[in-house]
Amino acid sequence: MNKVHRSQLAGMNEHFRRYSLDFFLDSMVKLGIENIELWAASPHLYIEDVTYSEVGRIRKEIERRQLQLICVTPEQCIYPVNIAAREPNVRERSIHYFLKSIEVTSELGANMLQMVPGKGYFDESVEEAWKRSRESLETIAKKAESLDITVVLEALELKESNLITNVSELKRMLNEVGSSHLQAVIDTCPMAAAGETFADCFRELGKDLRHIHFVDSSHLAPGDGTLPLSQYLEEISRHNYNGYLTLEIVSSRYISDPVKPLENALLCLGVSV
Amino acid sequence: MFGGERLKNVNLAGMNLHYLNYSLEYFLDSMVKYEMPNIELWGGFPHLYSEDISLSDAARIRKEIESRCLNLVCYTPEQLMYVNNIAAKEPEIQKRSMDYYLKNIEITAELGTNLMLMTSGWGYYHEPIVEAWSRSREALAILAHKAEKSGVTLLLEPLQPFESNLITNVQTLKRMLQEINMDSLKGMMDIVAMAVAGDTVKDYFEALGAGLLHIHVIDGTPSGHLAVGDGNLPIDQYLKEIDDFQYHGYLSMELAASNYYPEPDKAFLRSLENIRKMLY
Repeated sequence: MNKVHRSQLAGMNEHFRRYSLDFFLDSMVKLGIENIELWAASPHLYIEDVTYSEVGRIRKEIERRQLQLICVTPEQCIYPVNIAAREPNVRERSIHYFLKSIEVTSELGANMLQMVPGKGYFDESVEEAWKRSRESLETIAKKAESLDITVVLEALELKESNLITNVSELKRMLNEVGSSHLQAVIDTCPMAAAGETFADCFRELGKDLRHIHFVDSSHLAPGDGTLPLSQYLEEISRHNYNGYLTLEIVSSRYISDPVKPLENALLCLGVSV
Repeated sequence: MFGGERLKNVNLAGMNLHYLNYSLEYFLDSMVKYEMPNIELWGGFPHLYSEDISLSDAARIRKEIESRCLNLVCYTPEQLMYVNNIAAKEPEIQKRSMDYYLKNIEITAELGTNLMLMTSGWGYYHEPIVEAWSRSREALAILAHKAEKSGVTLLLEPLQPFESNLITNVQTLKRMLQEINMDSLKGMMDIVAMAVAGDTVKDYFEALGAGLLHIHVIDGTPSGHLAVGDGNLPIDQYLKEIDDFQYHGYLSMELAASNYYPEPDKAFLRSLENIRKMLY
């Protein structure tokens, strides 16, 4: 497999959900992982409840370990938020969740925030939901511009959303919103589910392909699943990609011992532990 | 609850968790269409998220259920996906969680059922569990008192080891029930949690006796929340054992695998057809 340089990789705390944030940060230092993408969710950092003094404390905890925060990803797939919701109160609450997330991202000293488009009810037409999603993204992108944060938008698998499930729909949404501060993140799982490769994604998105979630099938650690990760790395290296690869591993099998799958992933990617 | 002696199709209940990409009305209509008379209502987004709704919204949902002649057998507010941990060390998370469940007990009564599912919460896995256990116990006792006043019985359900380090088997379930010792807090059995823990149907009935008020029948490998037939658990054998203990409560099919989200009816029907063949 093509080797990955340590400085390209980012660790993520989602599968550390039964451990404290400090435990996660210490684990990154022990593993020699230099960059982190912060999954913002309880008990680590819940956007709705967090105060600015707590955000300041978390920033200090990250910086004193000399870790670099490359992206903030508020929980938005299992939490009750949906920027495309039909119910006005839910949609408004969801937009506020992301407006505050942008401020938190700025306070943490990061410049990238990850989002998904939300979803409509599957027993309704998608057109109205698409429009609601776009209008929400326009509002959020304006706020992002004002604080110079880039929002990266991610496609989902059909089981998660009926709005953006492939790269052409992702590009269509970027075009319709038309903001310099809205770009794309490609996650290997929905990409594979859509039958696409990185060659397709770079061709469609070009420079708007700002960020990558690099995981094996079903969000397993690299090496534990069935995706052609070696081929993906070759495609990525051919396109002069300068961004990061985040190991967004999520499976319930890693919850009890969250460090081990990262050790295995680093070995699999040719990064010495 | 039932006149008959053996477990029958009328003991089955459908559940809405894997319908979360569809509207609540779609789920209710599906139950009518597939002749499923009983439902266990999952209180989760976007069907019934307690933080967003008022008690009058709950009354409206009750009307939707009753106008379809469906029987609500249990209400199950979402316990794991949201910011929610009654055993949390952080006071703000604890408070938020208690507010959540206190409101959900009121919603249970408003919906017109007397059973609400409850779980233990969890402590950090890198810390000793003693303190988290006592926080959970204190929280459950407060909730059981509230339930008592509202005419509701809480059904305590064990979780799997990736979900909690507190109540994960029949032994810890029985211990918590004894430590709290209130009539408004009873036990229930989830087939998958039972299988994952290595417990048996016999273990549950011996530990809980007539206090075993509710059962989730789902398949797994052994983990998962799968349609009956999609996993490899001996559901047929479990049902015979449950029947031998003269259980007359409900068996809810709590399907929750995300693969079922795009076409929830298909998984429900498959589970229903498979389990009907095993009943009398």
